[in-house]
Amino acid sequence: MQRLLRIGPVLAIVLLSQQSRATDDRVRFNRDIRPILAEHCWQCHGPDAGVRQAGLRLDLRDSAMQAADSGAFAIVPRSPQQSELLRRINTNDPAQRMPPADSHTPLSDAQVVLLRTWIEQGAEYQRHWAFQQIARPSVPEIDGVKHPIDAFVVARLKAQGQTLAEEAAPQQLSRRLHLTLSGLPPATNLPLDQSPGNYASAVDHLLASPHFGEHLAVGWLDAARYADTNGYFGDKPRQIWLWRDWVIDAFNSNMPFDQFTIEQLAGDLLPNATTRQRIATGFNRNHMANNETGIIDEEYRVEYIVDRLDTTLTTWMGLTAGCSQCHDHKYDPISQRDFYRLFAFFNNGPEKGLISADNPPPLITVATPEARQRLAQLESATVAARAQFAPIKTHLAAQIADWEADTTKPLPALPIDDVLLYEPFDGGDFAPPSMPLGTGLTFERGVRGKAGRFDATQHLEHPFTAFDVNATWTIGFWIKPDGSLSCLLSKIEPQGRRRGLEILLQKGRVRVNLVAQWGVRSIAIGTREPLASRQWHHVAVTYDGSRAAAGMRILIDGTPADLAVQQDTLGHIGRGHSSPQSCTNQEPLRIGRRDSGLGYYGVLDELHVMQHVTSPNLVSAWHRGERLRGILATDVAERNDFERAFLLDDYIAHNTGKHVRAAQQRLRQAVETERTFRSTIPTTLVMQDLPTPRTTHVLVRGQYDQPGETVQPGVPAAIGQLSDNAPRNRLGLARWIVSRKNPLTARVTVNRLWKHCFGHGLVRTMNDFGTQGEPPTHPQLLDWLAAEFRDSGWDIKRLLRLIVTSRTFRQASRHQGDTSSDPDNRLLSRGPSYRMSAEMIRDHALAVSGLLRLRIGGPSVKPYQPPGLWREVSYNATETYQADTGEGLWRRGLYTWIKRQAPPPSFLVFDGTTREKCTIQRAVTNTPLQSLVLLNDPVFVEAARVLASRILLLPRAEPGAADKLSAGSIPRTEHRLNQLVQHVLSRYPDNRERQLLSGLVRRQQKRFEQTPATAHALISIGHAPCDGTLDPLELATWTVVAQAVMNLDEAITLR
Amino acid sequence: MNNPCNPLSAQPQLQRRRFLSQAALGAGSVALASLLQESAGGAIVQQHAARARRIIYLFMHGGPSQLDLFDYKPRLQAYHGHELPDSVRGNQRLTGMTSGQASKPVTPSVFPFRQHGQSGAWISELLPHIAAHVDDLSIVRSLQTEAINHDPAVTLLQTGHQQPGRPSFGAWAHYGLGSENANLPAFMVLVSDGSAARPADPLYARLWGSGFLPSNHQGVALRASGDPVLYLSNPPGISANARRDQLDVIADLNRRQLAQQRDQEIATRIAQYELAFRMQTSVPDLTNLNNETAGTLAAYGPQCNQPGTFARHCLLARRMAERGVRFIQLYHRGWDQHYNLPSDLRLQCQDVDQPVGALLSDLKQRGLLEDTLVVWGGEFGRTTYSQGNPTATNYGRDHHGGCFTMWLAGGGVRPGTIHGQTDDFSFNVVRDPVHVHDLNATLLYQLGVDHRRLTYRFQGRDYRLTDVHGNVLHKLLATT
Repeated sequence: MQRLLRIGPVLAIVLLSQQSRATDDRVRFNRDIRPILAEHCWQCHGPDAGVRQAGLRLDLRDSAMQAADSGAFAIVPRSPQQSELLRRINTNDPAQRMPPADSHTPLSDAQVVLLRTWIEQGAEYQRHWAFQQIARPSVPEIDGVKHPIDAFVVARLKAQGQTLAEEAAPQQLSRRLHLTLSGLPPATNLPLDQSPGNYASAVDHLLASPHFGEHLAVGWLDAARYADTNGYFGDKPRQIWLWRDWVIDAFNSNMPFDQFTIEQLAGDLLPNATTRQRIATGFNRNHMANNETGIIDEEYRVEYIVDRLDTTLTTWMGLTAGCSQCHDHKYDPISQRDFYRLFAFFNNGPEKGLISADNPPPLITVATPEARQRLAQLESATVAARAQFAPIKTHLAAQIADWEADTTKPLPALPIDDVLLYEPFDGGDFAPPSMPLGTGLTFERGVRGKAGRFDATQHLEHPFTAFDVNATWTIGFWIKPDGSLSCLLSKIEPQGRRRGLEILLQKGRVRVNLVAQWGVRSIAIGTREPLASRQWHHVAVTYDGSRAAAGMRILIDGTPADLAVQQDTLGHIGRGHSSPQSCTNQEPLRIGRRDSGLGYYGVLDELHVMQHVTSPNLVSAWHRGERLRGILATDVAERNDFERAFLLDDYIAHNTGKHVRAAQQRLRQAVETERTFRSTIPTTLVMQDLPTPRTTHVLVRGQYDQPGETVQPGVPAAIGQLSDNAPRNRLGLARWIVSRKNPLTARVTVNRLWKHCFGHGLVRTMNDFGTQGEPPTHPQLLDWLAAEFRDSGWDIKRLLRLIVTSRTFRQASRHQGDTSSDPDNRLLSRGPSYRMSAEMIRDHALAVSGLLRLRIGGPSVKPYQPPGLWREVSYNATETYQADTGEGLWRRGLYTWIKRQAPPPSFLVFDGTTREKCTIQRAVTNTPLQSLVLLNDPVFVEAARVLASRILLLPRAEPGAADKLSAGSIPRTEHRLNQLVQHVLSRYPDNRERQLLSGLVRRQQKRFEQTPATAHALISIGHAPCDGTLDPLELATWTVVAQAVMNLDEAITLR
Repeated sequence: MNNPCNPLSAQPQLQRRRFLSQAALGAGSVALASLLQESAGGAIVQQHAARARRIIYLFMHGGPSQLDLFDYKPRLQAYHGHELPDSVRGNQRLTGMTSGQASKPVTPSVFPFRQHGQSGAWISELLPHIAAHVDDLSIVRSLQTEAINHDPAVTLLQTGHQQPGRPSFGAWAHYGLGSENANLPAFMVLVSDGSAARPADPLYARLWGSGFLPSNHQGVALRASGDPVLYLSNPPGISANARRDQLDVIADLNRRQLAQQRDQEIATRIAQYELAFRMQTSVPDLTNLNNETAGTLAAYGPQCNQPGTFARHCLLARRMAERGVRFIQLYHRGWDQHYNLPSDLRLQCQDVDQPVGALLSDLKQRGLLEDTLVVWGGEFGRTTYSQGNPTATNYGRDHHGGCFTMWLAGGGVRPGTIHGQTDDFSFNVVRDPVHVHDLNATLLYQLGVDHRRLTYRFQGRDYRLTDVHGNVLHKLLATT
């Protein structure tokens, strides 16, 4: 195998040169010579001045003809004998021979011959094909070929002695056309009418469909690295779906591509920029953004700009500038200076490298007129509610004063039973036998009287053994934490099994570990919501001795908290143990510390430890009782906002009538409704320039902190230049990108649209139009299409119509004759055939089942996903994926929420990307994991089940129906199989296929009859309701059969 | 002339690349061959004999403190509480978390160190089991990275570049060397949570992603709950027999389509469905510990009985090694001890020490250590000075890229060695610095791969794991 590989490409090169010279004896620089020089010479004799050897530069003709440092002339046109280059590549002297042996890049004999011939013929250079201006080639005239695309393709085929393949079968063509233009299979069950008029109208119909824009958008979202989170470190959610919807809409409204370009790159700089034009600039805000504490701001700000530059250049011009960030490009004429001149266009935003908001500014809020109106209503409702409540509040103030003065008023009870320890932290001696250790506590005003302030350098130890963590207990206290990580209280061994109890604050959440053996047998629970820092909270933990997490409760401010159970293994009996293990230990109770390491930062007050379970009602009273007593004991003037609010709320809740409570409730409701609605008004990230542009420097070796010479904004000299009157900002750049001066944009864009239809570009290296990329398979066709596209006003739909109406597109995709003759379809000797994308495969399954919800746009959605994927990787393991209910489960794939840190797993398996970087061309792989997804992912199982119900609910075929296959009284199973296959593959099965599938029906039916429970299990998958009229066994049977058909290669392949 | 930007510095790779691009883009029979390649034919880029057939990478995510584990600094006591001298600090970049901290008090470790084994390496009391294997280890105390924050540092170590977008190490290994077991993924990932109180830093799919390589090279995460591999199990209601029946019909229908279309991708797809079916047996077989002796289970420690723990993952790593998984990547989270280091580091070490010791013994006992390269370490080290005010018993340490410790074992590395030396403060490397790229070059070398020649062309440039850097550390390698 290895040997075969080694000779393969060389043979190919020789064959190719022979082929090309069969029709033309002249050596052509771009076709024959440039690849040799680029691969073998330019590394040391190319554009990069930094590493150039011997003063010889071979990528420019003028330089190549000059004397090198040695005085020798590398190339003397028409004089092979005098050309040092030929001597050096032919010499046997290892010290002289080029390329040097240690480069491991020897030239082949064929290449040496080519170089000699080229020099003999005058050593003419050509500009790299992609950088040449687009000259519209004339369409080859071929008898019987009308369509210009076909003319170019047939001309090339003819030269190889080949022809176009026959036209694809009508059903196949219909399916291909629908999938190409809308990403969805044909909705109708009728075969496509073959007549030319009908094909054309189907094309028009599809181009006008709103699903056209959705399908076209996917590739653009890949290029723009669109996602729903920020990507680095914390990977928090961001809002930029309005930009995604802008793209869909732009494709649907057939926005000319030049306008599409200008608005996305510089919409904000257009005169009187509209909101929509500003939304469009989100293209270059889709880069990742970092919130990791400790990063260096400028380092990341530079990184974002480099990313923008790379993305823009790759997307529009098929070039990568990455190399030039640090040094002159080795192969392409983009110098390091060019790089930073481009950088200068993007260097003027007001953004930061270290972001502090999930939606890093600049951003805009985009409210629809209806939303604006609704918000105004809600605002006035809040004002009204406030006004209504104001006199009540005044009135209450007097009542509260009277109430306070009443010394006989009842107050909620405090714990008195079984109190093993009560520590009020009032600044006097500690409750014996507590011992202060470390630097000593300071005291400040607390909830009641004083409270102890900890800074992790001190704690209290209570060396009593009366308190047994194995039994029932309640621990309660008030905390006002400074940080989000602390140990509040512990009675735990520092190492070994770490038996005992600890109460921690982790990321602001209260966490309790009750341990018999660390990590093996313990209860570990925590609150889901973090506490507000720098506010007083009452924390109570109760445990009923049941050795189960269910027996442990955490109450925050008197209310049982929503808990996450991390471990619940305390009751387990392990190997070698006949009874559960104990958590009892001889450690002291440590207040404000775990062991040697983890302390408490913040204030602590009113600690109670009890050897019983306090009921939630009593904890609630305890919380109120302590708080109220504390407030009432404080002089009115010295009470803070929290205390005043607590008193008012508590008084209203317990001492007032219905109407006061209702008025307060109305106000709360109004405030909350307004807040909630406000949060639903979307924002989106946009580009914006500072009033004064930043000065841009070349960054030495690409380092953010090593500025070199100053540069002005500009485009790479080798490709073109801005006109004198063009603004030196993104708008000037955008206009140049779509100007005639830049030949790359039109070529790159038609290549992308070609790929959209054929699965491959005419230039196979979609993201590299530079000298290292592959030249086009059909250069003339590419240029003709580029000219046509540009001259038609950058009309995308027109170009696609042109492509899909060609015979080239309409060919059968079956491999012809000898499969090795054109394995990659480089000659376009057959129609397109490729495995569909992750999104298409999902959409297809949902569409054929009828589950697909076709709403366009809106916030991203969260379909089914296996549990735990976010938790496993997110910061502090706190993020969980909450799947949508209802519509969000069945939307098209492009609306699926993309978390860069953990992208949708089934998409990754089908070559979807993480959207971390610009992607122009996804890989197309074929793996076992794909089979597992299609067979077992609930979304596909559900779709099969819903498709099965659809088939089972079909009326029996009517005699005389148009279709002869369903005419008459064909057996029911056959009819159903016909319909099933028709739904999924847009064609009827043949006899043998029907036979195979009906065998499956029979056998599966029998299986389910034997074990009816399994049928119920299968048809219960997914949220889509089951039709109650169907026989569950039959539904399960047909679910399996539908799955089989949906798993066929044909179902997930566009052919 | 070894500049890596030159695509032809690696002629065989160029062909490998074309071969793969062809495979990815349509020549299905070739893709199939690649996919099912057994070790005999898979060594397409092996340029020399491999000393290691697989890697077990024990990644301590967060940055374990070299000062408290492996880099013994007795002379630091003399500076206890003093400011870190400017002469030591030099111009090393500090993170935004402590660059503004007024005082940078030198803080020696609270943990006693002791010498171990023939090599006499000093190891702290926190790692007794690993210390017992010290003569199997090749300890590198002079690792360096320019990244000083988690995301870029871990991305650099695992993909060779600080910014996202490149393939991970495992993906490169899979791309270059293929698979040794047709029924299991060649690159598998296991993630466990640490016991430290401090929140664990995030991980990212990119760390086991394929970057610009085709996605069949991405790592497959083995999960503790639910399906061990996503979507592995048949849906409820579908028995193995029912599935087999269904697959047979799918295969028959696909074969008819193949005969008609003659597209070799269909042949590949048929094979992939068979492989998926086999994985439904081979993965549960991998995770089923019924055949492990009580002695083995006990050796890995009590946490081994619990799915999802690092201890369990170490045992699974051995089972993967036995089954020829090429790249076994473990992540243990929670090593970011900015504060409360003494308490949290003890817990983290308790999570890993016994299982790692057991893994080394187990591999050795089964003769697997010879051709399995075990790597232990995190993305950077930690500072000599305390973050926040230290007390007698409590301190924290910020990120430190200037020097950190990793160790290698098995797979042809020289056992019982200590490579590199840091200054008295464990702040600078004073002898034999080892960059992340050098480490990666060396690991690839042990797999039989020249890191300069394992390349993939993307956007006109030939990329490699070591970017444009990296030197193989021959001093670390056993002589054959």
